[in-house]
Amino acid sequence: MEILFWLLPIPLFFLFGLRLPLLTEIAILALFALSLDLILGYAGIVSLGHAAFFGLGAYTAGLLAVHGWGEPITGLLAAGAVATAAGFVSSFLVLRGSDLTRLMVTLAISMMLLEAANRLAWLTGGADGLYGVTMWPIFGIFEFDLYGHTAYWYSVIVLFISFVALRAIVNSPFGLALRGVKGNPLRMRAIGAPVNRHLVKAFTIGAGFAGIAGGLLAQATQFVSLDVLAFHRSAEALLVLVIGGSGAVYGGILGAAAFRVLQEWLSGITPQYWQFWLGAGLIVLVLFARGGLIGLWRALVRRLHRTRDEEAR
Amino acid sequence: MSVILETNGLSRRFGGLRAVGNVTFALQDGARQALIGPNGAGKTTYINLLTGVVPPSEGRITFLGEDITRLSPEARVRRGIVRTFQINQLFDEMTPLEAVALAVLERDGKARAMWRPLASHHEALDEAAGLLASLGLADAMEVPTAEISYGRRRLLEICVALACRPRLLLLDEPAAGVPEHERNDIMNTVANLPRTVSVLLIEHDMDLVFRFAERIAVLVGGELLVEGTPDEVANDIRVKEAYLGESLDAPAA
Repeated sequence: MEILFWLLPIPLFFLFGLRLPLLTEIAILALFALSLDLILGYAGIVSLGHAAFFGLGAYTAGLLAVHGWGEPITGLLAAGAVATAAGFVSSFLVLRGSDLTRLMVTLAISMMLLEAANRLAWLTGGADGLYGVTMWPIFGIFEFDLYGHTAYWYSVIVLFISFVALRAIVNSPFGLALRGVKGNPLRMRAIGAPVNRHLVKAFTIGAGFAGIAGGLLAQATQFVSLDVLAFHRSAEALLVLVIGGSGAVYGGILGAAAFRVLQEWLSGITPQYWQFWLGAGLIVLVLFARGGLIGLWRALVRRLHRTRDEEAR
Repeated sequence: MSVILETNGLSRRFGGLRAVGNVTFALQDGARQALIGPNGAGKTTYINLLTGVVPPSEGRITFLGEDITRLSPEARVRRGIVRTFQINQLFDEMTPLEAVALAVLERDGKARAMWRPLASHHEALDEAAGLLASLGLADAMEVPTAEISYGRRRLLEICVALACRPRLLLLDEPAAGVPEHERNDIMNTVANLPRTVSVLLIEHDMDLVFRFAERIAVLVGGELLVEGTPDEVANDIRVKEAYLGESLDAPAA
């Protein structure tokens, strides 16, 4: 089943050759949502400013390329490293307060970064965006082409590798400890768990992967705008997790696909009111499928198992 | 026998209220000690002082010869002071096996391991399964915690604490709210704890207190009123007054 899922990008490539930029965007959004899911879905840290780390990654990768280092893989690693460092430092601020304070602090951090990027126009290009991002071929072989073929495969592969790493983390003892912190911090302290250290780690790792997602966007589109730090980007990742289901590694991917496809489709039929229908869809989802798409899928599997058990009897 | 835990002149004030006042008390290694007292006597605050959740206003706490007054709650757990809660504090989203394994992993400092899957940590999982089985929870290991009976969740509460390998176990009303037919399981579990674990039992149920405790301490108005054997305590006139007519007699059986 899982192998089939990860083979999907191949038929998609041939079926939607002209829509590859959209598919690439979905892969990047999925990675961004996955990074938020580690923080929100597993560790239970609410955040309204996850775009801060996405944006930092995007500007890191973009600026490196503009200033003469267009090698994609090291650029991506640098994007992740900068976001990781920023995540580590800001985690101490974020983790101080209660949920409400966390929402405010994460929001404030991302807004400050947005304003800083706006002001530092000599560095970031300000509101005009960062032009002149030129990427070297991946491994010196695969050029970023006009059709977005390379960008597509590059994004899908980075998503896959990150997915494998994140899944290993959530399935490890550390992942169990995060579920413990989210489920009952009082009991976690009572068994002697270093609750804060766990949370710092989760926030730092989540920030790092958000940076990789941001770097990926900069490299794939060869452009960085202030948009990478905007509030709506943080909100989008949250929406994706609501749609797909949080605390489940496939939730982010399914949610990202559903969200972007729905957005494309709705804005195609009603260019002015698509947000209304998206909102309406979300309300229906929250009312009838609180676990998101992943929750629906699990309920379906459970029902199938039950009927099979009954037939066996 | 040696002393495992000692509090000297331990006090805690909340504003003008003195919740715990000048408690000097020693717990013997391997003790079966109960701590009783009417509502508002300061039992909970005393426990919170021992676990480090609340810092004392005055006084000192010594555990295994070490002054732990200023140690963090986590550091105290690592030294072997572990508590259970009066109201279940469990992980509803986990199975009992996961919950107990988590406590084992945290105890051994392995819960920060990120790359090996949980399923490959056989030692921790086996130890957790063994502990659950020893408390009669073998058949509930993989059932979601929220779906097991209340009495068995009380047992799980104790099991999670035992997974931390306590030297001193603070049991906060382990039988609170447990229906009659499940009570015996709790009582037997508490009675069968190994002597390597010292136990301080906070309990309102005098039946359980007198069946289990070898010594009883009575806390009234934040102060230690009496400390002695069950007989001494049951016959103490001050204790009877403090409880205002509540029967403290040892059960006939």
